Amino acid sequence: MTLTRRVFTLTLPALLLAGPAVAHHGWRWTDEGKFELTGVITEANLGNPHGVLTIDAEGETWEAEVGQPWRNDNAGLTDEMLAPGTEIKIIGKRSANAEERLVKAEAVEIDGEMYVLYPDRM
Amino acid sequence: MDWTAALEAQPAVQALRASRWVYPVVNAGHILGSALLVGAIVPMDLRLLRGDARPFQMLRPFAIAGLCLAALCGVMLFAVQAEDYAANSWFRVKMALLALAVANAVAHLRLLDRPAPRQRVAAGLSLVLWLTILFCGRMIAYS
Repeated sequence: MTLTRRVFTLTLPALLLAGPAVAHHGWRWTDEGKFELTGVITEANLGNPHGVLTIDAEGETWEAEVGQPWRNDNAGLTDEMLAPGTEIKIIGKRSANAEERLVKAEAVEIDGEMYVLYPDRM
Repeated sequence: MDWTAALEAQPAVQALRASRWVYPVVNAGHILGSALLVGAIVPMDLRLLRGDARPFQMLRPFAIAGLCLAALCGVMLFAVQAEDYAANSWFRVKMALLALAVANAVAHLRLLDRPAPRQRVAAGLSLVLWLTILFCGRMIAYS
C-alpha cells in the first residue's frame, strides 16, 4: 500500500490549499458592525450560482452580494428592480478585510422601500 | 453576439439560472458524476501501477457512467455563466486536460493486452490527469 499512501500524501495537501473564496457562505467572513452603502447599480449579475451587484458609491466601486433568485423573490425583489441605473441602499455586513470593498446584503432599500433578504437577521 | 452570450440567452438556460431547486440538483449531479468517475479511476490506476488489474475492470462502466453524468451536468452549469467560465483560466486548463485524459482513455481501451510498462505509463498519466482536472474544477469557484 506504500504507493497508495504516497499518492494520497501528494494530492491531499493540493486539494486542501484552496485560495480565497469569491462568493461567501455564511457570515463568519464579515465585520460584525452594521454597514450601509448607498450608490447606483452599474452592473447586475443575478441568478445562480450567486447574485452580485456592482455599485458606484460616490466614485468608489463596491461589490454587493445579494440573494439567489429564490431569496430575492421572497424579499419581493425582481431582476428589473436591481437593473443598472437603480439607486440602491445596501444594509448588511461588510467584509472583515478592510481592503475589500465588499458587502453582503441583509436588506436593500430602493425608492424608500425596504426589501428584507434575511428576516431572521433583522 | 458571442456564442457564450447566445447560450446564456437561451430560455432553458435562463430558467436554470433563475431556478430554486433544479440548479442545486444539477450541481449535485456534477459532484456525483465526478465522485463515480474518480472513485473508479483511482483504484483501477493504482492497481495497474502495481500489477494485475484484471479484477478491477468491473469498475470501468462506473467510470464511464460517472464521466457521462459529470459532462452532462457540467454543460448545464457552464451554460448559466458561459461568458465567465469561457474566460476563466482554471476552466480552460481543465477543458484542455479533460481532452487529454479522454484521449488517453480512448487510446487504451484494450489496455490489458498491452505490455506492462505501457500499462503503467497510461495508468500514471490517467491518475495525474484526472486528479488535476478535479482540482482545476474546484478552483474555478475561487478565481
